[in-house]
Amino acid sequence: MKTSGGRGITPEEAIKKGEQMLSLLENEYPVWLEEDLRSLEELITLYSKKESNKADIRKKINIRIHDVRSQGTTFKLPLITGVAHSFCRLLEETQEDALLPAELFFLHLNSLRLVLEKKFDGNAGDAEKTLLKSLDKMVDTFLQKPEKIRI
Amino acid sequence: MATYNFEKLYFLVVDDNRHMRMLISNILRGFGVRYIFEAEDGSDAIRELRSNPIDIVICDWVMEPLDGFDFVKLIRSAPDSPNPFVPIIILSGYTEHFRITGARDAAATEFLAKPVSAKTLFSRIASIIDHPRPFVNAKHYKGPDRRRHASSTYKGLERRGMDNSSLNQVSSDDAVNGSRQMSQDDLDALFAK
Repeated sequence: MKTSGGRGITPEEAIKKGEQMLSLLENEYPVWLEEDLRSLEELITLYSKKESNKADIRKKINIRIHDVRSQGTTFKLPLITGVAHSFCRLLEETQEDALLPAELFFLHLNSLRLVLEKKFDGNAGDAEKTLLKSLDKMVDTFLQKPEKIRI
Repeated sequence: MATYNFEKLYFLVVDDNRHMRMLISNILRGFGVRYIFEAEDGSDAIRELRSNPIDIVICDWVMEPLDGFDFVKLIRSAPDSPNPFVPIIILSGYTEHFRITGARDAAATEFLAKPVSAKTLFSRIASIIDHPRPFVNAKHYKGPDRRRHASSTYKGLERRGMDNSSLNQVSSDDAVNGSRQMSQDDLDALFAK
C-alpha cells in the first residue's frame, strides 16, 4: 500500500501541519486578493461600456468573484466570502442574458476593498453586519424588482 | 490510532486560479505529500495524467475551456483515458443539490465544498484511502460505486426508504428553484460509503 510504511502521521498531526502551511500564505493573501480585485475592476469597467460583449464578460466576472468567495474564509476574512457571495447571487439568480447594472457590481467591489483595507475579520461587530445586510438588501430588491434599484 | 504516510502518493491539483492551486498544494505539503503536480484546466490535467503516475486528482468544478464536469466524464469514459479509475475529488463553491448530484453522477469520487480547510481536505483524502469505492462499468455509468448505505442519522433528501411521492415532491421543488444549498454534512451523507 502506498500509504503504509515509513513514519506515518496521525490525522491530528496532519491537519495541524496542513493548517501551519496554510498560515504561511496568510501574508500573501491580501496581495492575491488585490490582484483579483484589480482584475474584477477591469472586467466591470469593460462590462459597463455600451459596446462590450456583456455575456462573455459576465462569465469572466462570475469565475473571478467565485474564486474570491472561495478563499476569504480560508484566510480568516469571512466577510470577503460574505460580500462575494452577495455578488455571486446577482450573477447566479438572474438569467445569463439579463442586463445587470454595473453600479451594483462596483458597489460590491468597493465593499470588498473596504473589508480588505479595514481587515474586517468577523469581529468588527455592527459595521460588518451593516455592510453585509445593506448589500443583501440591495440584491434582494434588485432580484425582486430590478427597476427599483437606485444607486 | 491510524497513521498515514503520503510521501509516495502523487497528487494532481487542477484549478484555473493559481492562488487556489498554491493553497491546496501548501496544505498537501503540510500532510507530507512530496509529489504534487498542477494543471490550469481539464485539458492540461489530461496531459499531466498521461505523463505522471497520479494517485489522486483534486479538481475545481468551474474552469474553462474544459470544466470539472467534462474532465471527470472524459477521464471515466473516453477510450483513450490515461486512467479511468483515478480517484477524483471535486472542489467547488457551488453546493446546490443539483450540482452535487451532478458531480456524483458525472463519476467524481468525492466532493469538497469551498472554502477549503486542512481538516476537510484531509477527511476527503483519508476517505479515498480508507474506503476505496469499487468501480462500476455499466452501459450508462462508468465510475466509482455511487450507492450509499442507509444512514440512521441522515434525515435529508434521497434518504433510502423514502416513499416515491415525497421524493418526487422534493425533486420537482429542486427542479423549480434548483437552489437548495447543501451543508458539508449533507455532502458527506450523499457521498457516504
